[in-house]
Amino acid sequence: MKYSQGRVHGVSPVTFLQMVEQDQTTCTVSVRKNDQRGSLYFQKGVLMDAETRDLSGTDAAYAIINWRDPELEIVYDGNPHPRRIERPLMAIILDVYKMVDEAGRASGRAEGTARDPEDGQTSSATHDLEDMEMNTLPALLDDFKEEVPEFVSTDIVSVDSGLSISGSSADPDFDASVASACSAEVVKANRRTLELLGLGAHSTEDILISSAKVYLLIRMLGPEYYHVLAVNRKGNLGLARAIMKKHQPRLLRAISDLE
Amino acid sequence: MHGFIFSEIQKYVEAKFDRKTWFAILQDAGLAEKSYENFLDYTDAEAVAIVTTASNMTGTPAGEILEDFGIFLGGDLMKVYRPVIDSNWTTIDFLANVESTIHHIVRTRNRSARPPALVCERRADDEVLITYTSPRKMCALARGITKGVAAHYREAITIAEDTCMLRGDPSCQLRVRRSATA
Repeated sequence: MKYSQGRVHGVSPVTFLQMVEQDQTTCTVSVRKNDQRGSLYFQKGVLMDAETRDLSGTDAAYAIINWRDPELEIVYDGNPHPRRIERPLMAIILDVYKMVDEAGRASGRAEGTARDPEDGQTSSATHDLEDMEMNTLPALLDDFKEEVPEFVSTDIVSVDSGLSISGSSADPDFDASVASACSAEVVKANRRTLELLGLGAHSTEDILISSAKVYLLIRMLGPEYYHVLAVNRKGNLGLARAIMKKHQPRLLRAISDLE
Repeated sequence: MHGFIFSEIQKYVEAKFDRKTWFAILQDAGLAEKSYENFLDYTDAEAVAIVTTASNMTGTPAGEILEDFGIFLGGDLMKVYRPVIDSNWTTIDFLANVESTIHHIVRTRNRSARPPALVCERRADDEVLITYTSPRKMCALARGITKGVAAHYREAITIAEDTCMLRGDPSCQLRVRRSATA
């Protein structure tokens, strides 16, 4: 059995957990907040289980993800852990955002913040949430494109119409409107394929199209919209994919907030 | 004209009648076997041929068909662009801001869509004046879309068309007033 461990600095807990998922890592993430301790168990990037002193399974995951600025330690212990959490990590993160938001609204959010139910402090999810609420789709896409090396173009597109509802380009020669409309056809064809295969029409996370000049990455934002990114072939595909995934909650939030 | 509009016309005809009627209209319009894709651009003449044929087949004036289609289209456009529409807006707010928000996005990110240039002047809290000068002269469609937007907000509006290009005026002016909650 391999055993190693290390502390994590300079990255938010949510981003770190998404990286663990993205990299399909098998590990235990130990989380410490004041005198509270918790563990999140990952098997090949899948969140299998979570534990705190008083909670286990999904409830523990909700509690841990809601802790503000915790200390994180990653342990590669290689021990398989039985699965007690069926809900995907991303869904749990979004649930936490929603719960914090609802708690904030319920308490009137006097200063625009919600309190962590466990320690009375403002939660990290709330901080993220405030950032999201202050941002419109164009602003979020501007932030997004700044992070993507070899960025060419990006859009949020309606699946049904193929119309972009927001976007930004760096290369005027790249026809983003055609990329948006045509990728909608890819998304629809992909849905039909998955449906026929019995894999669930809406189970797609992302789609990659490699061409001679660009990579086109498509990431679903619920059933009605998707996020498409074009990057130059000199770009790092894995990094671009990870950045898209990182920004997905914010974009989802911006879209669903206005439903 | 953007393929999305043709897809919407087809959806509209199939919702009002059935798929058979859609194919019959295409046949009579000289567009048999034609299919429309959202990612392609088509001539305005094809849209005119479809509407004219539908008018002849149903005995309904083309303007009425265009307006009714506009109501249908307006509802779908509100669904598509919902995430970029301020949730606090009313029908009048939306119309007053449509150029700077929706049409701006359409022009920059969906280049073949070419929405008509509108001048929307807010006259009062509950009134906006829309000046339409498109050479397509489809003010009936603009009227319908405006009604579709009001239906989305569940608001009652009145539209007075003070001038109209179809009557020889240089522009169509639609005075839209919110009357009461529907």
